[in-house]
Amino acid sequence: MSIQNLNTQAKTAISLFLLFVITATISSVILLGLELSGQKDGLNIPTISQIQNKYTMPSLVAAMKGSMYKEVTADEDIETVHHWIKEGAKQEGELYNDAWKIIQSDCTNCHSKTSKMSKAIPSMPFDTYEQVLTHTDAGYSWSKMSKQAHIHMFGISTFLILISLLFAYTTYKESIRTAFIIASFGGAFLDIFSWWFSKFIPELVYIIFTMGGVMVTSILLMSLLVLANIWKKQD
Amino acid sequence: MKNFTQKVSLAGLSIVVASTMLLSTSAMASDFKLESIKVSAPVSMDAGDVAWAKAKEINVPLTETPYKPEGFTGITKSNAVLKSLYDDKNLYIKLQYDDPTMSTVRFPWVKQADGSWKRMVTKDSTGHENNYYEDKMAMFWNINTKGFEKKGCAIACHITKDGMNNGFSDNSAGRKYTNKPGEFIDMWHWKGVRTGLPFDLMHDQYVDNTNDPKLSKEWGRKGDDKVGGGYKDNYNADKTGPAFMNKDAKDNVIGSIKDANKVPFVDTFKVGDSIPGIVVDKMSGSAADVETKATWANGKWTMIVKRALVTTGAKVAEQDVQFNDLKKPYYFGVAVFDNTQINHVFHDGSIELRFK
Repeated sequence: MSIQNLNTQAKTAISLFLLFVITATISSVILLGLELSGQKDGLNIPTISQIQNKYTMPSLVAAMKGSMYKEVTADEDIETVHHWIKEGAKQEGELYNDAWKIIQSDCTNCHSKTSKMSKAIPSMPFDTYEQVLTHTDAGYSWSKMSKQAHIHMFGISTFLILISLLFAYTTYKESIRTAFIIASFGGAFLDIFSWWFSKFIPELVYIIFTMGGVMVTSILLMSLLVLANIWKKQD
Repeated sequence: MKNFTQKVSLAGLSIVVASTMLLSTSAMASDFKLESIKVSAPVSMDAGDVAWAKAKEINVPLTETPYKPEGFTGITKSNAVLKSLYDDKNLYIKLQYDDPTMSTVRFPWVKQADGSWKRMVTKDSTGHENNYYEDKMAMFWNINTKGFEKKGCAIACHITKDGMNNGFSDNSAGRKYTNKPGEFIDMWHWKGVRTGLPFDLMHDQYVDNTNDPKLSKEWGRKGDDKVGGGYKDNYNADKTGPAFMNKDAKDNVIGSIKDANKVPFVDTFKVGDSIPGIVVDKMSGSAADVETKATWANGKWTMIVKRALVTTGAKVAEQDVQFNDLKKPYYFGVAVFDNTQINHVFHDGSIELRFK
């Protein structure tokens, strides 16, 4: 059996589905790049250091280096806040005074429960020391990991099984079909698995970078190859 | 049929790929960059001057507001179109932005059914007006404030939280002040009925680091040195009605009473008639450094702004940006006010001006 034997309506539906998948995949890469780089626009391919910031640093520092970078007055302010956290994030001393002033100046216009600015985030207030303290842990917490992992794994596996099944019934060589299907699922699993453990083993950020790339590339290539194969004239 | 479907699918794929490439390309253009083009002769204050054909325009989406007043009906988004020229002596900026209503009142007096006069005020919980107020526009020019290049006007914006600002009790939505002593921002403030329409001027102001209301009622926001002129509320002695009115009622169109045109108020008016709530006199000195010509038509304000590249005065170092090195970039921001006292619509980041 081959997808080439399907009727025209089925081929059309599959082609449109794949166009959606391609667009969604590219959109997700754009979104990830924006979040990690702090840029407001453009296709920003994530770098190792950006991934490192997100998964191994305190979330406050990661945000100041990434998605919130444009709100930070000066680069040295990030180091000041990071230093305060590394030294225990205590509510006393000069380190605290410096870090608190930076947070108040750069963050709390929006991160305040009473803020009414256009970009206000009252649900994540930095009004008190205790509120800020909740953003000083490094990497993913159990709660965040379980939330992110199940959403991504359910979502990705649902469309991945559809693409894989379609790709399995193309006329490409068996070895190619097997390799792409394993790469896409394997890449996704190792990518998500590494999100959490990179806070214990920082080298895992290379796995996040590589496996994320493998997953995206295999999804895009499988989609394009299915599109090319499904409409190919049979000999 | 097969061929047709094949073509449709191919076209669909092409559209997705092309759209993605287009999105990536257009989105990669990052911050706002405005080029000021050299002209050999002075530019007139007429927005239709042919010299503007030489200038490249940029679009700056104005999308942010500092707070949400109750029942606010003004604009919360706009789009600024900017061009710039310069000659040997002056910088010129042409700005056009969307504002569907031309607002030329500022706390006007209105005659009531019982014959009394009422000053029209509907201030919000922060003590600021959003209905009976003039349109305004402001440009913030960095003088030496760290972080302005990246954050734009937001570097001096300090929002009041839980009624407190920098440890002081405060009802306002926020205050403007720089973060460190010695940091200054030049502020060109077009006030529709007070400086703009009556005198073709902006109020040249500046921002310093004053963050204590006991030192200055307006915190860091201050006016440049003034030799003469200004504006004053139009009250009678017991504040029950206007003290003055325009000699010629036609002059009410600008929403204020020029000092030269004012005559003592004599009530010969009918119910519903209004009198401007402010008496204005043309400023002189450093406060009057920035000339403008503003017109409103078809839902847009168009303004020509002109200022000397280099200004003079005792305090220019802290009050005025100096365009004295035409090789370096200058950073500024734009905000517009739709008949509101402080609820301005602004943009993210700063705009970079370079002289070409």
